[in-house]
This record gives sequence, C-alpha cells and structure tokens, in this order.
Amino acid sequence: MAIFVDQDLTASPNPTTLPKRVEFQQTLHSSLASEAILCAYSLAEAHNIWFQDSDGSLHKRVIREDTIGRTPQVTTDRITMTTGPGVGGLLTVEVSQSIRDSEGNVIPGLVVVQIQS
Amino acid sequence: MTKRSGLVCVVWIASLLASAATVRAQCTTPTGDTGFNDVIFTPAAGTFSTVLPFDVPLRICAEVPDGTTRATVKYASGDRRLGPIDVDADTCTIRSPGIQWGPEFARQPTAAANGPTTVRWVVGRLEAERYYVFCFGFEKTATDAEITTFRQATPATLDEGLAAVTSPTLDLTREQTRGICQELRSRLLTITGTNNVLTHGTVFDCTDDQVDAFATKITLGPLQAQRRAQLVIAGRPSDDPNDPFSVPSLGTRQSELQAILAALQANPSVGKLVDALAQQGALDPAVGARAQSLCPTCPSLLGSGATPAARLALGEDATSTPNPPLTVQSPPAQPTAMAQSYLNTAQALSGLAATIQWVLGEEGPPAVVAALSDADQAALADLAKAGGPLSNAAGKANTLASLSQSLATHLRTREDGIQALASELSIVASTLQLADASTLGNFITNQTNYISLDAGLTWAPELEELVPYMGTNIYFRPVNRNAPLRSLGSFRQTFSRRFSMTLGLTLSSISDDTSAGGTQTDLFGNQSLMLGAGLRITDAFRLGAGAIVFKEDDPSPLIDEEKLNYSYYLSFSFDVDVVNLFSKPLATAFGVGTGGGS
Repeated sequence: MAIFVDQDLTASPNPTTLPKRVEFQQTLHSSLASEAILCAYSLAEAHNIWFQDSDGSLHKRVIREDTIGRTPQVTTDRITMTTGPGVGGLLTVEVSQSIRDSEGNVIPGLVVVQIQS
Repeated sequence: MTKRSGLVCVVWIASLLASAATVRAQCTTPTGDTGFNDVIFTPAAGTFSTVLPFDVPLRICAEVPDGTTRATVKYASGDRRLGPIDVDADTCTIRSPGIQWGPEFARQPTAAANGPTTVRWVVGRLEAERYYVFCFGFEKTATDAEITTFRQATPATLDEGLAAVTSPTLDLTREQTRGICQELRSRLLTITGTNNVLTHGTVFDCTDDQVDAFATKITLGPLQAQRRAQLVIAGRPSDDPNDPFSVPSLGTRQSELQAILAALQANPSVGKLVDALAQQGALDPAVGARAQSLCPTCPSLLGSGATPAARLALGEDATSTPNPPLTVQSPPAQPTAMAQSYLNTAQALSGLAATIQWVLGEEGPPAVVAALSDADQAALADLAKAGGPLSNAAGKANTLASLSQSLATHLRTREDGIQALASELSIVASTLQLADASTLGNFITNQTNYISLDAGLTWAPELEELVPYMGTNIYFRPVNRNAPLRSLGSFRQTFSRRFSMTLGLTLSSISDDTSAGGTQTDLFGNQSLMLGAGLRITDAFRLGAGAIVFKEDDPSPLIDEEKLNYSYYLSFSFDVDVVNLFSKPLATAFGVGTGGGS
C-alpha cells in the first residue's frame, strides 16, 4: 500500500571510475505484509553516462523488481555504468530513482555518484 | 665628571627611559623626549595624532587588531605644487603618474598585558612641504572570537547559497559555487576586519580549482540531501504523461488526497453510518466499544468534530497552527509532524473500511444496519472493498507519510551537512593568514617653520661694544630645529637649513657716555636694531654678521640733530630652543623652573 524509506539510496563504489558495476543499496519497508515494487533508475538524457545491460546495450533507464515486507529490508541492485554518447566532463552524476508500489504510488530517490577520470 | 654632574646624567637618562617606557606600553603621546618624533596612527579613524614632522626620524605608533602578527607601513610623497596623490584607499594602488611607494617597514606587534596590541615603525625622515600618503598593512590570523562569529554566520551563507540551487538535476554550476565561495570569503574578511587572504590553496581563494573541489564537496554533502528534499516537494514530472515512474509533486499528492477526503466527508451514506453508530453506541456500550476499537481515529476524519479535508491533506490537525509552505529550508520538525498526521489519517481510512465491513458483515449491529438503506449499504460496501476508494486513499495517506518522513530526514541531513561544512570551513579559516591594507592620506608635512629665535653676543668693532642680543632668524625654507644638521647631509647640502636673515635687538645699551663727549645713542631706549644674516655652524651655535642701527648726534656742535647710523657687527648665538632643551632636564633634576634659557 505504501513504501517507506528507512535508509536512503547509496552507491558503491563512490567515487568511481567508469565503466563500473555499481551497487545501489537502500533499506525499505512496506505498510503491507508483502508488496511488490518496481524500481526505476534513471540518468539525465543530456550527458554521456549510461547504464549498460548484460548484452552491452546502453540505457538511460533501468527497471528492477522486488518484494518488500513490513520489516525493514535491504535492497540491492547492481547496475553497470559506463560512458557513451552525450556531453562529457561531469564531475558528478545524479542517479534518479522512482519506486512504484502495488497501488501505483511513486516515491522518489536519488544518489550522486562522483566520477573519477 | 663630578659627582653632581654624574647624578644629573643618570637622572636625565632615567627620565628619558621612563618616557620611552610610557610610549612602549600603549600608543599615547609621549611626555618626554623619546629620541623620536612620535606620531600616533588611529586605524579606525584613519588619522594621525599630529601634523607630520619633517627632517627628523619619524616613529609611528598604532594600536592594531587583535591577532595581528605583522604590521607594515610604506609611504609615497609628491610635490605640494602637484597637489594630492591619487591612490586607491582599499588596495594601496597609486594612480598618480610618476609616484611610487617607498620601502616597506615591517614590525611584529607587541601585546601589553590587558592592553591593546601595538606596533611602532621608525620610518625615516619626511621632507617639508610635500604630500604624503601612507599604506598600512596588518597581517593576522583570526582570533578565537572571530572564528566563533564566522562559524555562527557560515550556516546562513551556505543555507541561502544552496537554497538558490534549483536546477532540475544536481549540477551546481561553477558560478553558483563561486558565489557561495565569495560570500563566505567576504564574511570572513568583514568579521576579521581585513581585506585580503594571504594564505593560498584553500576554498577562500575562490579560484576555479578550489571552486570545483568545493562544488564536489557541497554536491556530495548537503546539496544531495537538498536535492532529495526538492524531489519530494517538487516531484519529478515526466514528458510522457503515461510514464509510470513520473513523480508527482507533494502538492499534487495533497490535492488528490484532499479531493478523496472531501468526497468522503460529504458522502451521505458515510454520514448516516457515522450518525447511526453514534446513536447506537450511546445506547449499547458494546457497539460503541467495537466501533472505537476498529477506528479510534475516525472522529478526526468524520463527524461533527472532524478536521477539514483541506487541513488533513496538508498533514495538519484541527487545532494546530497552519504550516508555512514547505521549502528546502523548512525545519525538519514540520514534515515530522505532518508524517504523524498522515499516518493517523491512513489509520482512520483503514479503520473506516474495517468498520464498514463489520457493520455490513454477519456481526454487524442490527440497529445500525437498519438505519442504512440498501443503496447506502451498497455504496459503503463499494467504498470498503479491497482495493477500493478507502484502501486507495489510505495508500495515498501512507505514501504522504512516507514522503514526509523522508523529507524530515533529508532536511535534517541537509542541516547537519551545512553545520559540518561550516565547522570545516571555520577550521580552515582559523589557519589563514589575513591582511588588511588601507591607505591614509593625503597629508602635508609641516610648512610653517620659517622662523627661529636665538640669543647671543654681538660685537661691533667700530663701536667697541660687546653686548648681548636676542634675534629672530628668518629662513628661506622650513627648518626643523629638532633635526640634527649632521644627519641631513654635508655643509653644502644643509646650507639652506643653516642660512637665515637676522632681525634682532641688543639687550643692553651701546650708547656711549654723552657727558664725556659721546655722540651715539640707542635706537629704542636702551636697545638698538640688528639687521644681518646668520649661519648655523652647529645645531645650536650660529655665527652672524650685519649692521647695528643706532642714532648718532650730528658731529657739528651747531646742529642739534640725531641721525641714523650703522656699524657692522659680528655675532655668535645659541638657538633658544636648544638652550631650552639643555635647561629642562637640568632644571628638572634640580627641581627648579624651566623658564631659563628662553
């Protein structure tokens, strides 16, 4: 019915060089005993930093599924980040997150990843 | 040297040392001869205590800011006829062409016990009739009190600077960061009373490299928390209206909840249910107790004492003061209280659904059911069904509670990040060498010293007279008689300071005995006029020559007339002030007046 954030989203390693498989982690709980959620990770369109899936395709948005219970639960998503087309030179990049609960309510999150050259 | 003269010498030196010690303790005008021409500079007022002397070593005393580690002064001069010197008072930059700063005099200040920190510079000799500008520089580290003040002021600067960052992604521009940096630097300089940071390699440089590093630190610190808070408040709208991950703003969510709650509070079927439960609960305690246990918070949602939907949607209760709009600078306590209110509302909505299910179920109280029409029962069942409007509304209220809790965390993290950054900046600030440079001018040196007095003996060979006289010496340039001639150059170089015209009067009569056939009488009573010129051989001793003007009887015994006559003279004399200089310590030593010698 609703998802509560107990610990905000973090990225590891941070700072990081690219390409790198980055681990995104946070702690959530639900107002229901068990609730399926969708979690979307997004990057701004303009810059040159992308998510890369297992077949090497580049994406600006990656969606993961999870199930959350009433007790706080650590969720971890590992996503490869790399460079691609777009404006470069960023020192930091914002990874946006949207968590959509079973009733369609969406809560936001974000983490800033420092990019090392 | 006799015993007595030795005693005088000791007393005189002691008095000089005592005078010097008085000056050393703090910047006060010396009462005795310190060996210097002391001038007090008051930084706050930007003034000197007296007209600047010339031709003598000048010592400037100043009370400097606490924490000053090095104090400097330099000066530049210009011809009086060219007018004042054009100089930037804040940067000590001379704009007048052809004029440059002289050498810099640096001193380490001394702090008197329980007194001000003072510094003294001996800056050499100034010339007469010139414009002077002075550039004073004070280098210091911030005092503990100043760092404390800076520490207290910094969070506000960071808070305002970060709050101005409203870009849709977390890209703090270099210019925005530089603005924060420069504001911090400005505050530090204002608080410490300085105008420059001498230590380089810190954020207070506000150079591109430092600004970039500072931006990263801010971005990963309080700005990330702020951005999270902004996301909660403003949402993240999507260009695609069907984007399932579009994040509505807090206001949109509150409006949606308000609409649902308002509809619920206006729903006639719900109204009948609430009334029936109230009536039956008053008659049957078991009904009342069950209703209370299923929905303890329902009275805040429904019934005559309910909080208006608009306030519930904002996370407020009926009795609280309305909250100001949420911003990234709001206190964390505000969303914390809102979260509790939303949780209560969600609980009330869930409780209402449970109550409806109880009433319409097998264990429902007949009297209450009887009060509801079939249409009412159907409407209520529709409201309370799984995934129905009440469940949906509870979900929205819970989501608002979740967001409010997160918002409180983000605002607290932002505050903590700002405080941590302020502490870090304060530590850096405490290590900085700061400087304050300011210009003082235009001052013109004393230009009225054209005349001096002396006293001595004059000898008129033709008259065969040796008499005392007192004279006025008129120079063709300002002369500071406190300046030793030997310190100003050779005889030739100091000629203009030595040569003067003399106008004097004999102090005794040069008249000869008229009863014995003498013919000359004084010009005025018992005094005759002396016109001539003099040359200082030493600082005190002067040789002179000229003419004594007197009256003389006509040599013819038949003519009873007096005519002016003159005769040349030679003289030696002492400068009256020099005589006074010597007489004062002696007179003081012997406890007598100091009038002699003048």
